[in-house]
Amino acid sequence: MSAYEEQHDVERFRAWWKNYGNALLAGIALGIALLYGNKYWQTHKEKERLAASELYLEVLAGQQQHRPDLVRAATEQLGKQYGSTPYASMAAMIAAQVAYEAGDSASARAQLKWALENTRDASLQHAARLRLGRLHMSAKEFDAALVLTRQKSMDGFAGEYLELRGDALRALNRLDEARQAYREALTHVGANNYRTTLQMKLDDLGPEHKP
Amino acid sequence: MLSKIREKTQGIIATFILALIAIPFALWGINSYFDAGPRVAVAKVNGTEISQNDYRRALEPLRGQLPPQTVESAAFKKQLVESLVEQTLLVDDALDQGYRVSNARLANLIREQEYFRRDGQFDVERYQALLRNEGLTAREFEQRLRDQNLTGQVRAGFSASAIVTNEEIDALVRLLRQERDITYAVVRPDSYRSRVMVTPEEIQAYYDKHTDLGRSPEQVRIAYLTLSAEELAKRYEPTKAEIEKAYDENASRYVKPVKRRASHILIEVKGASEGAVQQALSRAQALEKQIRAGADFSALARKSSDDKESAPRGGDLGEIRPGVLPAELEAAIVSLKPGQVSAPVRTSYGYHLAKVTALTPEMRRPLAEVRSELVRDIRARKGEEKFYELSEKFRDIVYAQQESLEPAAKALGLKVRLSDWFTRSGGRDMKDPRFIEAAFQPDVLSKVRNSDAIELSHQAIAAVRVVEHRPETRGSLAELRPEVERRLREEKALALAQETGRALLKRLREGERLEALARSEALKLEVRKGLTRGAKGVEPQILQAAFRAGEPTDQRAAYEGAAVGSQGYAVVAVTRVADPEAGKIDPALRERARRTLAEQRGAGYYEAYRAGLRQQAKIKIYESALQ
Repeated sequence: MSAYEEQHDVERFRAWWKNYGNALLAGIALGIALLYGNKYWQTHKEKERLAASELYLEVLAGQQQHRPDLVRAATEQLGKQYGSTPYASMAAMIAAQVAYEAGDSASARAQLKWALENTRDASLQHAARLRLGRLHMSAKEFDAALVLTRQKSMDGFAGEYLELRGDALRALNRLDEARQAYREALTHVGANNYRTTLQMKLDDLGPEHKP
Repeated sequence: MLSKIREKTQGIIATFILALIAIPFALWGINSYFDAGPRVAVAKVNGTEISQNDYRRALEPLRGQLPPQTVESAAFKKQLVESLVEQTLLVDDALDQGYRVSNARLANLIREQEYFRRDGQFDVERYQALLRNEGLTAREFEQRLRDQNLTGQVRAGFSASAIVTNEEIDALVRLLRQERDITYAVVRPDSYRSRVMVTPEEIQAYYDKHTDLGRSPEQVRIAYLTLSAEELAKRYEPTKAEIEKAYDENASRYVKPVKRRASHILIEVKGASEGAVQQALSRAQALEKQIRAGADFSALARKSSDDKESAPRGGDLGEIRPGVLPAELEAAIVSLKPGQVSAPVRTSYGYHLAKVTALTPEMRRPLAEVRSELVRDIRARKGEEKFYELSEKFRDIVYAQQESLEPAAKALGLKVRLSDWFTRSGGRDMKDPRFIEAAFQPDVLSKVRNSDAIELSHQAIAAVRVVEHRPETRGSLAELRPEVERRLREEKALALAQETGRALLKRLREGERLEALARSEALKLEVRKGLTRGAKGVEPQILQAAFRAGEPTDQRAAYEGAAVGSQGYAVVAVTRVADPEAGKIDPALRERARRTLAEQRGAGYYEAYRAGLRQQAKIKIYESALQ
């Protein structure tokens, strides 16, 4: 490579740098800023999750020690400060159980509804909805329970939904439909205790057509 | 290449590409490009690979705990991978959702474990030792514990939040404790047997359809030859010379060498001059004289020895191990009797006076005592040697003279043994799957050749030869006719009984009474009172029918029917249904019912969540990578 050629190259590079140099530097700076911004955001989120996990363990401990006040306080804090973590909804589910055991059905419902609206986990939504349905049954709000069982996707919870539907229909004295619901429920469960329970409920309705 | 890049750098696109390459280089270094070493995954779960290493780590500990035919089976390995997949799914989903275990929490979990504690305190050494025992690094163990705790948080959430309402408990208890009184009759096939007709066409059709009937499987008898180090060892008779030689060679096992304890007094030679040496020697000689005159050796050592370490102990050097002391001193000590004191000994340190303070003589177990042990060892060794020498020959002869096992037996002095008849699943005296597999190889089975040598262990081989072969047979229609006819008659009679039973049930539901029907049909009535769903002493089918019959009215019983296996068909009349009285329910039963329900509405939901993850996951298992 001759000296002339080298000189030529350097000049071409200068011209190129004049045109695109600033754009390149700006691009790199923006890239680095984005990287660090993202990193900062992730670190912040991670800190939140870790703090929320500690509070969640307090909820579990409060439940075991029969301390509804501890459960309520920690759940409330999770809902307010760490609503974006999965712990908030899970804690609400536990708080609902604690409230129900303490005889406060209204608060139990409120917690379940909160969990239902805030969780992104489909399984937890099903769990919250089914438990809400049981509280409706307990309050003799059979139609409300029935409405909850009208779900498009029931995932692995089909047996439970159909059982709840059967129970509601039976309470509404719509026996043929109840029978149908229990029968369908049985097609969704394996050979276990739950199957025995469903079979008992179905048998208890007696044969299809009474003479 | 370089010039090409330079040409391309003129374009803005190339600039952009260069920047794209350069930035990651700057930030993460070159490693991110070349990190993917050669790893073979056993499975892939939603993009997460489960490595061969993870799989081995899970398999290895099981190898010690379970029998090899279990652990090494393909089904077991598949199951193991499935469980790793399951675990990966749960962990990944928990992390994805945002569940976390902090380092502080993890440290607490470890410190709280009882088995890492010594005297009530966490003990790092114990922790590390236990992990080493399990073949785990601290990192791996902590990762496992973290994962376990992570998925545990989700599981605990589903389980602990289970709500069981009182109404649900009441409903379940009512079902469990309800009592029913029933009257029933069974229409049995016995009386219909003589009434049914069986045609020759039906018999032919049954015989053609039920091809398993009257079949006896393929069977063989084999001759087999075993060569094992163990057998060869038993045959070997060691000579007297061999035993004696072994006794000498294994002296370390039978002889405890002599032990001496000694003390010394050191007089250092200070400087290199002839005078200094002479001075030290005369001091040593003076001390020797005092000792010979009766002075106490240890007292003199304390006072005069230049070996500052041993002097305070009276010159004691402890037990003398060969090669530790200077050679001249050791030689002097070995030549002394107990209690005897040496003349001055010159070493590089100076002059020593040595004394043997204790001597335990050599202990030797006599040959007669250890003879049987030696014979056993020699036999084992010779057996092994002989086995390696003969096994090649065994293989060769069995392979080359493939029309019989006798040549190999004769050449090696072995005995051909004969088995009883056995099938592919074994027989009375033939259980070893390796022999069975060898015998059923096509050209072994057809008696064309001996089997190849079978590796029984690394010190035993065998070969088999089929001597008799019985192919699979099936009894002719003529032979099986009585059996076929009996079966057909039974089937038809049962069908007829069931048909009759169903007709009776219809008549009962239309208004007739069971008592009257039983009389006209000559059926025996049975009565059971106070049956619950779990009652014993009634056929389960009859019990189930009683509880699906519905409820009787004041005027009429509730009727239901059930096929009772080969016994016929039962018609059941429920005459009374009694729910348990609210006040009389055992609290323990209510608690049991509550637990059952809580299990379903809690742990059951967690199972549904797991099943859901599995269903939505992309799972690939590479079965060929499972070793």
